[in-house]
Amino acid sequence: MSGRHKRGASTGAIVAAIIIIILIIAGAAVYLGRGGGKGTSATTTSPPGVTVTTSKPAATTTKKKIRVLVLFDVGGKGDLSFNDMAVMGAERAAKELGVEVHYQTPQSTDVMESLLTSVSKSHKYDLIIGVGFLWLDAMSKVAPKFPDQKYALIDAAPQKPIKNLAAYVFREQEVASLVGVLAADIAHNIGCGKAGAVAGMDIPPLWRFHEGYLYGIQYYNKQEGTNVTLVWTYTGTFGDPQVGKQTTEQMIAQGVCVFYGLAGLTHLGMFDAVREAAQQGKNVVAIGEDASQEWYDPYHIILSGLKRVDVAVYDAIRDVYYGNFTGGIHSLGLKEGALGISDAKIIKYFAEIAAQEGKLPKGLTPDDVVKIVMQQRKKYIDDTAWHLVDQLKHEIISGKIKFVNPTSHDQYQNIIKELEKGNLQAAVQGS
Amino acid sequence: MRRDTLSWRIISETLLVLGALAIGLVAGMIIAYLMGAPPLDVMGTMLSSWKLQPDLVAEYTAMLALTAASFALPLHTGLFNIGAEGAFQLGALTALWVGYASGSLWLALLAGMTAGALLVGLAGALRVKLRVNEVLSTIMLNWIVYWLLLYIVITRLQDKYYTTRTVEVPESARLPWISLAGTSIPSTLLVSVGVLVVLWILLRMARWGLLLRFTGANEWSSKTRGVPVGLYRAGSMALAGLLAGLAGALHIVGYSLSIDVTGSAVRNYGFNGIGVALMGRNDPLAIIPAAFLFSTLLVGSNNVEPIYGVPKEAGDLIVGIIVILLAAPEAFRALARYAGSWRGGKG
Repeated sequence: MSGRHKRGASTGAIVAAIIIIILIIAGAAVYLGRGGGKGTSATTTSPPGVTVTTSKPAATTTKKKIRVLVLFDVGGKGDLSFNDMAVMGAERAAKELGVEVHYQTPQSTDVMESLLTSVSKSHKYDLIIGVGFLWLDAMSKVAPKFPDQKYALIDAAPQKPIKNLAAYVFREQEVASLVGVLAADIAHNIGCGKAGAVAGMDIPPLWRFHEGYLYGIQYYNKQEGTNVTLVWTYTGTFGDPQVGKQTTEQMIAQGVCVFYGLAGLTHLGMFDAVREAAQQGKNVVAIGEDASQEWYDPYHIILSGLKRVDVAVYDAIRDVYYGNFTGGIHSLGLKEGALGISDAKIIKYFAEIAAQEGKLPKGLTPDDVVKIVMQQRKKYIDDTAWHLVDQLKHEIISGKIKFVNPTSHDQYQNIIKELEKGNLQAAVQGS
Repeated sequence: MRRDTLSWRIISETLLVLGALAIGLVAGMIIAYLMGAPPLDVMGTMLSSWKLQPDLVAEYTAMLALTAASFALPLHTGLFNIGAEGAFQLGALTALWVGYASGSLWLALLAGMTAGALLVGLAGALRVKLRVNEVLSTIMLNWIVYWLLLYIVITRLQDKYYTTRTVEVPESARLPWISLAGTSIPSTLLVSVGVLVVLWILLRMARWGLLLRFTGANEWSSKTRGVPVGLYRAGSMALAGLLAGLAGALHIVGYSLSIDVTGSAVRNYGFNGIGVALMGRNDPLAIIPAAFLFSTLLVGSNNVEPIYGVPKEAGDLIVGIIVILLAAPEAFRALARYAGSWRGGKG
């Protein structure tokens, strides 16, 4: 069949392909020639679930409008957590400061350097924000080449400080240790004695969570004379709810009854597994992370550790707006209000966002969510545990406890080993 | 008579491609319009991305041309090679490791090619000797490589400070960039185009190239004339793996220099190559412009998001529609050829 016209077919294909190329180049040339491609018709979108409907400049501004580009992690919008919180911070800045915000999602890490170079060259933005540690490499390479361009990097810092790059890092151990105390109490009260975590990839921010979470559990054990253990699982991915669900089901079979979700989209599957197990009569509870995630299933997600990416994004934009931009490393923790345990106010805030999106469980209002969560907390967590949390929080804020930042995989594993033995000092600096 | 058929084929094929492209562009503009963005500007931005990010478009073109050739070559003998994805990743990983350890550019490239050839060649041998479906075996091999890559990247090659990625290949094992019209682009493009041209010449002029196409065109007839069909099929798979492995190795030494811990730096080149091969009608020369078109659209779709505020999925959708329309005719032909490859007894 193909033998008869094979030669003709491929000759035709080449001719056709060449025509396409000529058309593309000609079309693009015409387009660029008439002044297109300069982004003159730029508009901002309203991101999911944010109350802002307009991005009009604030009345007070007389200076030129500040333009900000937010570059997402590879996952992009819609994770109900990390990237969406960046949107929240940026939209807050748009509303309060009247800045113009644009968003972009890279396809993979190897486009990042090219993308960053291209937007830096365009001189269109007063500030370029890279959200997530994956931007570290590209930012470190590109930022020094454009000294007049301001950059912010969220959740990672370059090896040597760069003058025009403000790097925001979180002291994750602090929030994880508070969650650890509460998780240990829940595990103790339910009676399973095993607190679990469904983690994403084996990378430094997760090492810090692991260190803090285990510290909190052992802190509780020491104070209360209990023997709650930690079951920590790396799923290897931040983007696969199915894997999160299977992992959680296996852990439930091992007798774990508290689940801390540290895997982005992956731990949405953990929430589903916990709900299904609870419906089958098992006594299991989940804990969210980054944003307040209680609204997703208020009967079973009774806590969230907060990592306020929005605070970092907002701070970065505000500093540029007021001309206070400083390069180097900005460390954020409990003291700066960038970390914490979800309270009624923030649970309601996120439940309202979810309600606007139509994502709230059927028949529930944001107020119901808060009420249910508070009831469930009473049921599972003792007052003594909350006192312990306050005590630990105070020790951290006052600077009495400063956690070690593991810089290598070996150091991280040593700390975990020591903590498992009950040596709390192994995770604390200067001891 | 023969001239007539030939020119008729040229005209009909040209009309087919132009029609598909026109429909694709209009569909893209409709999507842009529905998203509330100016349709003409969106398409303009997408198609002019080679001006905005010439380095990335050049790199994508180079990689996709090679992985497309990796799909196209076995298809000439009637086999479907889905393994370019795995061979690309394995080639990248091996080249990184060898390049890092030895500091030699040539060793790195050689290692990448060998790894790719062995991987896909294995699937070819399984098909020929044991009639194991090569689509299934290459997909499974892809997954093995996927997890192997993540494992090695995290446990063996992770950089001490930049823990989000592996170590970089040393200076001595890198392929320099070339300056072109005021910008600089990776020289992987030159290597890739060179390889494709050589491949085209071999397929057309060399004895084995003709026999290779002969086995795919008429298996029974080839067998009765004493052509070792099985050998050609397995060989074409090994060569396909070599091409994809070379692409992966080039990507490391000529562009990305390292692999990130999510592996995203080396993903999807193999799969996108299938679309490019079908758009290029499985012809090595036509694959080059097809790869350029795909790359332009891919990079362009990413730049539509910040300028017009449309979600990135809309850009991907537009790319998808254009590619499917351009690839569809060849996809049907390829399926017919593939079905034929199972008819002729053993091999």
